[in-house]
Amino acid sequence: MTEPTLRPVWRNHDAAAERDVLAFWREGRLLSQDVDLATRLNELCVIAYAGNKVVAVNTAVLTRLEQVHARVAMLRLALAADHRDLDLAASVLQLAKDQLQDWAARHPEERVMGIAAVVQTRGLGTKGNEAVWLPSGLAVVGHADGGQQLRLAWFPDATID
Amino acid sequence: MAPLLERRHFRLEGMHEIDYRPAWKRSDPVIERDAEIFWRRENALRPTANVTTSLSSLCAAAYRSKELVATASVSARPIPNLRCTLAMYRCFVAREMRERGIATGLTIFSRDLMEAWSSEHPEEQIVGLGAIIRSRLLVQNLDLAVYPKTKLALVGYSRRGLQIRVYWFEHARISKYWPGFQLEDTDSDDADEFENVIKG
Repeated sequence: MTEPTLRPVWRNHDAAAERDVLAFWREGRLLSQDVDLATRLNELCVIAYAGNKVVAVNTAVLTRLEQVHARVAMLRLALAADHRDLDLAASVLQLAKDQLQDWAARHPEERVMGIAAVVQTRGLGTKGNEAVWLPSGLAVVGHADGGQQLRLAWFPDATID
Repeated sequence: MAPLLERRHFRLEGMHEIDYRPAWKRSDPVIERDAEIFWRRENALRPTANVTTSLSSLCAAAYRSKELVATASVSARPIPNLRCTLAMYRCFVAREMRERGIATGLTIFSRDLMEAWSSEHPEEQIVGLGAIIRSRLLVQNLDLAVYPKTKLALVGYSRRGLQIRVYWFEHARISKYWPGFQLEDTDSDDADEFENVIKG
């Protein structure tokens, strides 16, 4: 299997990429009935392609994480069933962080201070045990009642309220 | 013993060098004697403090010439929301010696000391250094999410609104099995801070 190629798409509004992602979501039944597609497409951050097919989609929602009194980009990642690969996930997350960090530095008025994610550790094997994931720097900052980890990686020079 | 645990760091502070000495699990009679004298002189002990327990928590000490000017203490505490045990760190600097970087130097020394010790004692399962930031001056003057020198990173706030920061050791692993536990009564007021810590 050839390694997927990653495409950074944060705030690009690339019509072809959006079309491909819609197909991916449709096939994976990842869209709820009441979803606002325009909003969802605006959250696109990184897409992974295997040939012409989308195999992973990462989105980012800018939101305040009250636990740390800061605005962060909450990441989500959907992987095609035949590409549930930890290396691919790590590569996507790293590219997402790089993009968002760069964008945040160019848009200081947005006050986005890092990336975060809620992680279901089932299926991660020993990776789920690591307190800090490298190279993204996503570190455990808490757990939800169901056992999901909340991870956060601060951008350089991130400030808090 | 690993070289790191033996090393003394010398830092320039004004015209005086500061000597950071390891104290963790050493029962060093000189440091223990000096620490008790220092704490009493500085009124750093609470009325209910158990001095023996406090001395056994000593992690490191900072000396200027022969005078002890700061102490660092550590106690291992399970942190429910992080599902791990951290070395909870406290530092006390003599009043006339504050704002000279001694706390930072002592914290870095203690951090590295505990990381090396933890790596050599995996059975203790201490995976990072934690701290509750009680210094109003520090909070007001440094609003960075990650302190640049000590690398202590904000993970949340206590019930009383104090910052909770963690430095994860390189070998840190989070347990997937965390059946819950009961906080024990201790003579540390950290216990109150950690009940229902880090509310999302």
